[in-house]
Amino acid sequence: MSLINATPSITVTTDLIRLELNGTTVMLESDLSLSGLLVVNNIDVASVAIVVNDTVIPRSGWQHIQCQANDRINVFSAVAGG
Amino acid sequence: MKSLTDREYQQYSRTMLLNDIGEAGQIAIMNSQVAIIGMGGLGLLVAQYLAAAGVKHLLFIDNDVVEISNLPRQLLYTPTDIGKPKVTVAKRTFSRIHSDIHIDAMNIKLTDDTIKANLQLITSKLADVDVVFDCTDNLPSRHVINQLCVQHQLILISGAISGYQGQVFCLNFADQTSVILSGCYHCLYPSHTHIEQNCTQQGVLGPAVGVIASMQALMGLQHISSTLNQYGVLHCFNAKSFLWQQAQMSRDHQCHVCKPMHISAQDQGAEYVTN
Repeated sequence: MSLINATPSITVTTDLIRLELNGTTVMLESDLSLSGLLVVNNIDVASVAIVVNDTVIPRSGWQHIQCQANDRINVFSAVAGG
Repeated sequence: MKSLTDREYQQYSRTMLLNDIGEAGQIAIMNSQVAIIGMGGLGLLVAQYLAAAGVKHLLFIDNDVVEISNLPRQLLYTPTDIGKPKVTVAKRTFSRIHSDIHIDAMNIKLTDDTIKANLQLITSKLADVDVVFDCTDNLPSRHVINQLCVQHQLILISGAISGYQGQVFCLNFADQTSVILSGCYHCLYPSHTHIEQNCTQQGVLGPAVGVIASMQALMGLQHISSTLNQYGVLHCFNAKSFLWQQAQMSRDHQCHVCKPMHISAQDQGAEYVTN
């Protein structure tokens, strides 16, 4: 879906959570913010929208919202063509 | 218009067979006024659907000319139209096909500067518009249109597509509760958003444009006939996998574009409760 073409990163630590990123199950560090999620996956923060559990999360909140176990996160590219 | 002629009954019978639309909905469609900004792939198709459905007053806004690369997806333009202003060609063509509709055409690009320079004219043209369709091809125009819709408390139906990715949503700025819940275009894509690819760079298939345009027209007709129940929902379409995804849009509490309305709504709500 307007999905970012990124391969989810898998970091092996002792404190991991399982969630769904763009339809793929991934393991991520438990203290990762939404901004951190983009950085880890080399996604341009200024070019996407993030949907968590079917709700758009405004960009101003990305630094403050942490990924939670079992979250369903979709990252959509901004499109403006017509 | 309060009633339909016999010919109109026949012409719009399939629409009116939908129980929730009926004759009242068809009359509402025929009494409506819409603005379509951007007369490219999306805008042309939206206009075709609306005019065919019975919308009698359409405002076209665009400053582009027809180019040869437009022809595969902008279906009403022909090779002889190349180099001519899109709004001029569109107005001429629609007037020929639908002799009983009124089309207003503005050959202008909506920017902060052009809006300031033509504020009275633009305000008067949007005053009685029921729906604004954003069919433009760039982010700055989309922000300007969003701001206009917020300020004038209009219905904004925004469609966009590039490559295989399409997005469409309807925001109701006339309903402040809806604004508080769903925000505005700026809440979704702030001003500093970077568009990595557009149609010029990434390409697009005509039918994929048609899917998004159809959704915009569908939302518009449902809003006008009071049968739309999904405001503030972002619909994302993947034209490769043919999958749709939906998400509830959210207001950004730091958004300066829809903030005044938000505060106003809270105040009104508080006053209502107090009284």
